[in-house]
Amino acid sequence: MSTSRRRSIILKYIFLAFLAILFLFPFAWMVSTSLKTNTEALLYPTRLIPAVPQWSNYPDVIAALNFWRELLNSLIMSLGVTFGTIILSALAGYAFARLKFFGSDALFLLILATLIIPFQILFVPLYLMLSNWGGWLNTFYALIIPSLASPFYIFVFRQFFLTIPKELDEAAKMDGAGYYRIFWMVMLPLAGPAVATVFILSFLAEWSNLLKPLVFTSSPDLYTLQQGLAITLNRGANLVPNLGTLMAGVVLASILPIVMFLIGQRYFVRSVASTGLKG
Amino acid sequence: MQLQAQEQAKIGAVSRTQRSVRTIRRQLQAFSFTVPALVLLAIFLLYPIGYVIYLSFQRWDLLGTPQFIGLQNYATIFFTDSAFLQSVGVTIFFVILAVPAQVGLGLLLAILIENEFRGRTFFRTVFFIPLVVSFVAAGITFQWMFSTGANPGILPAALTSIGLKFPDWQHTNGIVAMVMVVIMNTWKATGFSMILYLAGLQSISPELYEAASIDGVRNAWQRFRFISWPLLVPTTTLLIITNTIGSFQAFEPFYVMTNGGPSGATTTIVFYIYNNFATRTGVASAAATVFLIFVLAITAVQLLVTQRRQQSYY
Repeated sequence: MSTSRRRSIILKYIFLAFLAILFLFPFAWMVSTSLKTNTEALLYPTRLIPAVPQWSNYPDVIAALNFWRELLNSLIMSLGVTFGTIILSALAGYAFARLKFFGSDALFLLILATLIIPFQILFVPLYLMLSNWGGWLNTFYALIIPSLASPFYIFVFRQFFLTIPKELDEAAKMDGAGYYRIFWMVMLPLAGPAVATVFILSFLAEWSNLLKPLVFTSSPDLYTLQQGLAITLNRGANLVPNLGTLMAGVVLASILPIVMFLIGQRYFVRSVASTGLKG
Repeated sequence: MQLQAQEQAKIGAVSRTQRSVRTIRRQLQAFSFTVPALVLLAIFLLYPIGYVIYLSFQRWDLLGTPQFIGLQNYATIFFTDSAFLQSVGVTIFFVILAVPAQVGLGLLLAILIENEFRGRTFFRTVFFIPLVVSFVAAGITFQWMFSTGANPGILPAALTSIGLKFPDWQHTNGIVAMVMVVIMNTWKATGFSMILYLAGLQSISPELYEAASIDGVRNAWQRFRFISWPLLVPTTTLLIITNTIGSFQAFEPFYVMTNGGPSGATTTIVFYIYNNFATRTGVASAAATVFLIFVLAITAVQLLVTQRRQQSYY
């Protein structure tokens, strides 16, 4: 290896290390601050390792936030939407990929066209519909049911089912299986990668979602973790919160997605790459 | 003989109706797979689009009954309430800053970690991981790292210690407030562009690089300029469009970090809709309708661009 080549590799490592520090710094600051007293948190020069780790910040934020209730609410919303979406999108995606029926292609195009309509436009009419139609505001119905049908996830499942060899369901059909049997016994068990993709994307989006719970729920009993952090701690009566406690809450709200990511990293990267198809 | 033929015809006829009954049943069965999703899409996606357009012509403050007022809500947002046009400007400003930052940095990161080397997976993980934390977590963290005023965060404190004054973005300087949000947004979202660029780079055949080195393309810059960059045009187009649509819809970063301030300098269109939906539903609906038209226009541009690109291959 020539010296100039080696030098350029060393330069690249130095540059990458610099960028990596920039990207990791907010995490380090977040965790370090979560273990500080309020005075130490505002001290400059900043010490990355707290003088005396304030572990009590964690029980403090759990008490300040109604934490377990909010965690449960976040999980009910995220998992409810995600499982419902997987079932509905897999069913529809299978039909559009495999079972041609009268008008199925036109119907699929119509669904694809609605892909571009964002929730940011729909929340005004949805808010009125949910409040008029039976008092769904401030219930889990509002947080889950309108989010269940998603054009993009139907598209993901359709594309996946198109790649499964036709012989498989044809063989099942020869054995006399109906469409439902074929779907549950043959197709869905094969759809693992598509299920993983939709699970990851949908769970992450719902776990992080703030706008939807903000608009559809106002009762603190239904607050999600994101709402608790953004409303209870970071504004309102507690305008300058105890920084250490606040950051402890931020750490707690970030642990689950980060651990999920570190476990299923390969799937995460692939799922995110697949959203490129969305454009 | 004749009887037999009649019998046969009869059987044939019966089985033909049977067959068509079976086809219809199969068709219905196939259709039934899509019914749950279709019903929900019709109720919670298609109907609200019509409803929001209807509402944009009504005066309704959620008490009493809606009252048709023609284009008055549109007159309000375009001529009376300057906050709406300001929010359009704010949104465009955000898109102009945020999209090049994400796409440019994403490309740089992808090129740096494109080839196999020791530690590649580590770096990819580091650049990707902010994508999985929420905007609430990222927004609160950056807000306090950058906070000014009585409780200066680490960045303003560092600048003060070397004798510089950091603009008070939380109370007076709206442009710096926007830059702060863009920095947070870039940190959080760049991983997406990086991953798509990595996929794009990996689809370029190594033979092209070999052929080019025979043709006299020597250094890394030339390889990038004459091979990678032209072949990444589809990825770049895609990223510019998806990130533009995404940034156009931004609400949460601003809600968390700046609450739309100072003096509306970071109130985006969606934030404007959010601020008005409960008190001035008609006005919010008019804004949402205009926003819908923006989104449709961006998508139309996207379709035009991608179609032209496909044609240019032939």
